[in-house]
Amino acid sequence: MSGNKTKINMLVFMTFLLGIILVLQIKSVSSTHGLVTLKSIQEIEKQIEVEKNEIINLNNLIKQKEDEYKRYEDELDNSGSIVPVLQEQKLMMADISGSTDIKGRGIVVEIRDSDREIKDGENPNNIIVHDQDVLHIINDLKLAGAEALSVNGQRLLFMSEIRCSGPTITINGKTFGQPFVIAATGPLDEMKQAITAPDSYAYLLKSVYGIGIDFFTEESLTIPKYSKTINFKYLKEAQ
Amino acid sequence: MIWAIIGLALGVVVGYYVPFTYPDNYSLYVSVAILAAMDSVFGAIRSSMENTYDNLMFITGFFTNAILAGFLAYLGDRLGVPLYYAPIIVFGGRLFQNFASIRRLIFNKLYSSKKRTMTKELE
Repeated sequence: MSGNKTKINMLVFMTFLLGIILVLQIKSVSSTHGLVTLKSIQEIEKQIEVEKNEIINLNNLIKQKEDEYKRYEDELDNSGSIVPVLQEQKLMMADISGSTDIKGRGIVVEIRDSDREIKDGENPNNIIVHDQDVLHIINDLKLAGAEALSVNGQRLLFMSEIRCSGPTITINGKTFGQPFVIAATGPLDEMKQAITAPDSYAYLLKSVYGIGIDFFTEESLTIPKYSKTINFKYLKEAQ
Repeated sequence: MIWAIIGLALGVVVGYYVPFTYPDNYSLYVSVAILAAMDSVFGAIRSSMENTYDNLMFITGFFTNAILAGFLAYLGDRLGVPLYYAPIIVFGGRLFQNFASIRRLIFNKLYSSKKRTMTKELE
């Protein structure tokens, strides 16, 4: 019976077609979930961006840790101990923590009181340098990527104070009169811009109040180490 | 019946891997067309059980019904009248009719074979 065979073939083929259309329909309908607003697209894009950055950061961390591990292993293979690597790391920690002198490319900013005459009725505070001004410029330099900072030879660490004491300022417990010399190592162009940009605080001081702000860059700038010893009384690691 | 299921399963598998979707706007037309095609397949199963199956009838019915149903839904959209109700009611109703007929035929077959064996045993 050839009729029976073609019948079955036809039936299989037709149901085959039906199955394809059926699944395509299901896929097409379920692939779109109603309306998508522009806002939600933007939010999702932002989220994706954040997650991608997170992935990149984590990958970098993995690579960094792997490199570190490899260094330990190499050192262990070469000399049988990891002491040289640890010593190297200790030196680096010393650099970071401010217990060594730092040498590198940097910028020196000198801030001095204005030379101009006070106008009638003008507040004389306008033409002298305050601790606030120094702090603000230091903050701008940090924002520009400065890595080691000192003011009048005093290394600035996390607990270095910059305090007003009359016409002088006190840094690390030592009092200085003007001019104040800020030395900072880091990216030169960015730090220069932090001082000279028309939007910057230093530019405002210079152009509006006439405060003397000079700067020069130096290829091998020395930033002295922190002169006092650090004693922690309340610092305790979290359990 | 079994062949129909095999064909359907094959189609589902192939359709799943075909990287093709269409815009949401067409889903109504396609769903009506699917209904018409399903009706045709059920009709074919029924007619083959009744031994009144005609190949040409089935194939033409499958395609023309599907196309007409989809077109009707499209026309309804253009005219602002929900014409897609017509295929849904007609093919949906016929689907159940066909299914009922298939059931009846299957049960008839089962009963008649049972009767035959019973009479054989009695003999």
